[in-house]
Amino acid sequence: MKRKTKRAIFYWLILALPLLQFAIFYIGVNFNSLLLAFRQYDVLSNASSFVGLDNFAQVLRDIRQMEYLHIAFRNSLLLCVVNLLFGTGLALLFSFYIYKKRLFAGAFKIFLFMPHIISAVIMVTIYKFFVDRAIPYFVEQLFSVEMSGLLANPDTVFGTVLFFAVWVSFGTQTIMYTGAMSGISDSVVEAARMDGITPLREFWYITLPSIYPTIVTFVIVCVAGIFTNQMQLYSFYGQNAEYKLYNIGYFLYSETQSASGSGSYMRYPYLSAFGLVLTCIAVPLTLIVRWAMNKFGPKAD
Amino acid sequence: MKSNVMKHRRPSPLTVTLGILLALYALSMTVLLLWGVFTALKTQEEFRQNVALPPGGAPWDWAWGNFVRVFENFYVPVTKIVNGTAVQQNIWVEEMLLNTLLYTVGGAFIQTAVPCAVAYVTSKFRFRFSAVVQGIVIVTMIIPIVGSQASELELLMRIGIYDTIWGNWIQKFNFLGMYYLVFFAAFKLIPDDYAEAAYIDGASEWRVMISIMLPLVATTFFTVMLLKFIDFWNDYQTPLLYLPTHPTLAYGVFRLSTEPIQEMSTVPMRMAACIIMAVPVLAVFIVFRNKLMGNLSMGGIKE
Repeated sequence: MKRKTKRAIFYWLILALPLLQFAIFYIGVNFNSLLLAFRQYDVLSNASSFVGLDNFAQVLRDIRQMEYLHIAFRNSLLLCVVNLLFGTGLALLFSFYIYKKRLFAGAFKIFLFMPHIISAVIMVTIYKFFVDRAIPYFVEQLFSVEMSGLLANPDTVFGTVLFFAVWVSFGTQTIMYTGAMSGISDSVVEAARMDGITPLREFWYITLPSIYPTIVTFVIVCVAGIFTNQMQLYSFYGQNAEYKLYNIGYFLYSETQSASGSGSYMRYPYLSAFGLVLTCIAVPLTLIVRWAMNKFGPKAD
Repeated sequence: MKSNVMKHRRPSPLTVTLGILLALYALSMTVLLLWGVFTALKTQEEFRQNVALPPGGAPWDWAWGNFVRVFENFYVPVTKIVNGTAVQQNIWVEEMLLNTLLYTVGGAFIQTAVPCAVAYVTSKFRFRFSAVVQGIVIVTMIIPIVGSQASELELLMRIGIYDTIWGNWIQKFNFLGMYYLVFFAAFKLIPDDYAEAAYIDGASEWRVMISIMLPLVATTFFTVMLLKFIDFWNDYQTPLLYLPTHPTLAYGVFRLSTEPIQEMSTVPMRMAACIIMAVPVLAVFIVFRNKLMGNLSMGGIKE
């Protein structure tokens, strides 16, 4: 057998199963999602029938009328903006500090990475008892003022959960940004320093433009995840989060979870239609952000 | 001296501000985790009287027995369908540990080996289809498809692999995502000369891949597998959705956190369960921290 033929056989043998898996679990699943969105299941028999656009009409009606979905959309958007401004912004600044090998940079890198190592469910479990039990206790001991737990207080609960979501989000970004920053040419930094550049100007005019492709990647991942990011809400509350804390990621996961627990397919068509409506918003949004960042961002040269 | 290490200079306001912020971050993380550990070492009675400070008395008098009681009392009630009838069953910590190992080690190996093998052939074999595979990876990373879990669940139930560990391995048998790009970049850096020399000596394609190419990316392979191991060890949402009667430890701790069972309902016992679950993965991190926090390069996805 010719070597070229042997190589082709090997090539396709390696690719065959992953491509089959992709065909079933990506293309097949998403195609099935499309079909599901036009069907309805009978409660008792689990038999399905074609219902045209009924599921989409129901989804759009719910989006228009249901207060908890208004809240969920608003919170998802807020989470995305906060993640971009504070999560990405601080991660970039922290990465700069670590890249410059300032005091305790190695130790700080470990602390930032810690929430990536310890399970979210553990962090959440400790955090929620800490903010509800330990912090009021400290305040009472130190200032002789009685206060309720931060999660128990309706005025502070959303901020407390949002703070947690940002607080544990720096690890992966910091690793990737410091990795990208370490690739910046020493001679460029050295030349700028000879000219007396300050650290702030170096960060703004040299570091950020040099690692711009990595920043674009993370911003796109953040925007693309606008409707799947749950703000760790499921870890905090399981199925029982209050409506005012809802976001779309949480709504979709908890609805799917409760539908699968019921053993009936009845809720799946509605959820598929909901997912398709959200995809129709998320795809153009992501592509626009990507286009804008590439068009208006700094050029490599 | 490396240029990015500055000495004998007064730190700038930016450096000082960032240093303070990072110190506060480290302090908040330390206080929270220490509070969790100290709480795990209290009796419920002591916790009621002393919520915030370390347990009183000598360390050997602390409630170390909480950890033993977790192993004796930690279970997750699940509902299994046996011969068409719903049966309530308690899954104990030993079985959760076994499920965790199967889910974590099996999943981590598959989700490392598959992108690695696909990246190898698409980077080293000059076939036109390789560009298609790369395109698929990039497009699926950029295009966010929302809400396909319901469809996936229905499909898994119909083909009979829902709620099985091996079915979950099949679900994970994909090459999509960031780590394909990491392996692709790693293989691209390896010159073709090594493989060519082996071909001249009569080595087969399998031998070249396994004996020559894979050892050259062994560090990347190991790092990706460790990262995946940690991800899966900590993941409770996937088992909760796709493996409801095969709870892992993370799934168990989640259930404990949101709907505590009688024997484990106190805060110290719940903290003890959290600490037990965190210890193995922290040990992995301490041993391999340089690899885990090293530079995995993949570049950006800017055109």
